[in-house]
Amino acid sequence: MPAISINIIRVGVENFTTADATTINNAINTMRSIYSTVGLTLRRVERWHITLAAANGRNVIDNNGEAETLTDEWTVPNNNVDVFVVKLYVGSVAGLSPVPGPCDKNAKGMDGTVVELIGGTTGQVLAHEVGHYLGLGHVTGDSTNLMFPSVPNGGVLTNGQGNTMKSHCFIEP
Amino acid sequence: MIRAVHVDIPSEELTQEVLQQALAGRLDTIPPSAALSLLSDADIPGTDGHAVLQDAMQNDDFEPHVRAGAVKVYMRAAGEGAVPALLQALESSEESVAASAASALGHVGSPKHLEALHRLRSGKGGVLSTRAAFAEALIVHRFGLADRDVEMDSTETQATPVTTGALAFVGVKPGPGRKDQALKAIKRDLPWFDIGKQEVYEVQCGPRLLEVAVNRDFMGSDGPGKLSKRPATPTVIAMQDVEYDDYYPGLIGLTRPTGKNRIKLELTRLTGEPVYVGEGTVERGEIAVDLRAAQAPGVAAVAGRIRLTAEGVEISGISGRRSAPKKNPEKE
Repeated sequence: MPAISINIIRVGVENFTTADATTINNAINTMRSIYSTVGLTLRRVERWHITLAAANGRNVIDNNGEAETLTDEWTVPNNNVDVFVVKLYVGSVAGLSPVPGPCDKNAKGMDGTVVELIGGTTGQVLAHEVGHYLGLGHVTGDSTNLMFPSVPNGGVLTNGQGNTMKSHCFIEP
Repeated sequence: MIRAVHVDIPSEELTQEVLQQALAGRLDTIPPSAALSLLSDADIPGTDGHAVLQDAMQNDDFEPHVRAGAVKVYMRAAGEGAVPALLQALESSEESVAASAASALGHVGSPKHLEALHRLRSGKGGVLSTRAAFAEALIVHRFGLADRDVEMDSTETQATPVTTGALAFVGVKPGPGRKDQALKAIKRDLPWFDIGKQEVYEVQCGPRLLEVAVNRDFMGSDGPGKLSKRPATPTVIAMQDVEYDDYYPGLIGLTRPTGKNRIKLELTRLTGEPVYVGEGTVERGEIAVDLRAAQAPGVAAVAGRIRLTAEGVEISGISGRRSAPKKNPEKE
């Protein structure tokens, strides 16, 4: 079955609590469950972190530009989607991603996703942003769809969206 | 293209108490980040947004990242009125809060705050020290303090990008709508920015659209000569935010004299890291600066030229498609 793998990168790791770890694990399970409905497996989840000192203040994201800078400055050298998890992304935005994300994570421009921990809805944010990276745009007319521009939503993916995701260069056989 | 997802906030339930609960992380429906934004932007009956933000900056019950975020939001909301609270936050034992306050002070503070910032840069090290150093430099440049030394690290630059496959860019005048939108977006984040003094030039580089605001004080026949006499902030660059059909300030241009008729230009991120640097000579009322990209993670090589003449500003160059090697997180 086609599969995707992700790097969960906690930014400012010292500020993450045990409860945050649970939120992240639940989010991963939500994403796995949503993607399985279109025949896409979440294969490997690699865990990485950036310390507060190394993050140089990027653990608090102030605007979309700063989120982009975070993905510009850091990457994991593999073919997994980089997911930078932050505890605060000022404003109503809870996640950001390029559409589609590049195959070369050293290319100019944004080449990872940024996800804010927002409790029980974090799983939808994670699945939504990785969906963007895999090539999905927003679906504005249907709040049941995962790619509706806001969360919470119905978390549904169509087979057509699944096919789009499976055509990304990071998909493993 | 870049896309975001938003949190759907139940607006009918918003009260001051609800927002305070949200800041404390006790509500699943409103994350602290959204509460901070609502306190700054929304008119919520019975809520003193500024007072709640000030409390959030100082309240040890809140997580450090919420307090640091409150500092940034309060600076933008209150402008110079935020200075007393920022000075208090500088003393915070939480480094991220103090560093956020130092950054904010760079944007709304004045020369009388330089000593407080200078003490921080020589003290604890780390992010607090670097943010305080940039805040100090920003105040020196904003106020044109020629008698104050600016101790900024020298920046190693990248080689000129290979021409084949590079992205070419050239500056043009934007339409009035994009110009106004970009200037307002800069002002929203940088309270010191004077909208009324700016000319704007637009640069399209690959998929990225930039609006380059140049202060008219440094244009015309005698403008460039002023740059060879004192530090200045003659330009701010706004990046297009496709998601919102809006802009955000991405780079601040700092110039300072480096010798007879010589100036150095640094285009830095709002947090102070240099991205593009160059030097130029003032001759016959004109300046030409050759820009190169800093040797910094994630920055693509650039060879650019900026000419400031009596007629206006000319911008041209090429950019590579790959960035300098990035940093790697630690494996768990």
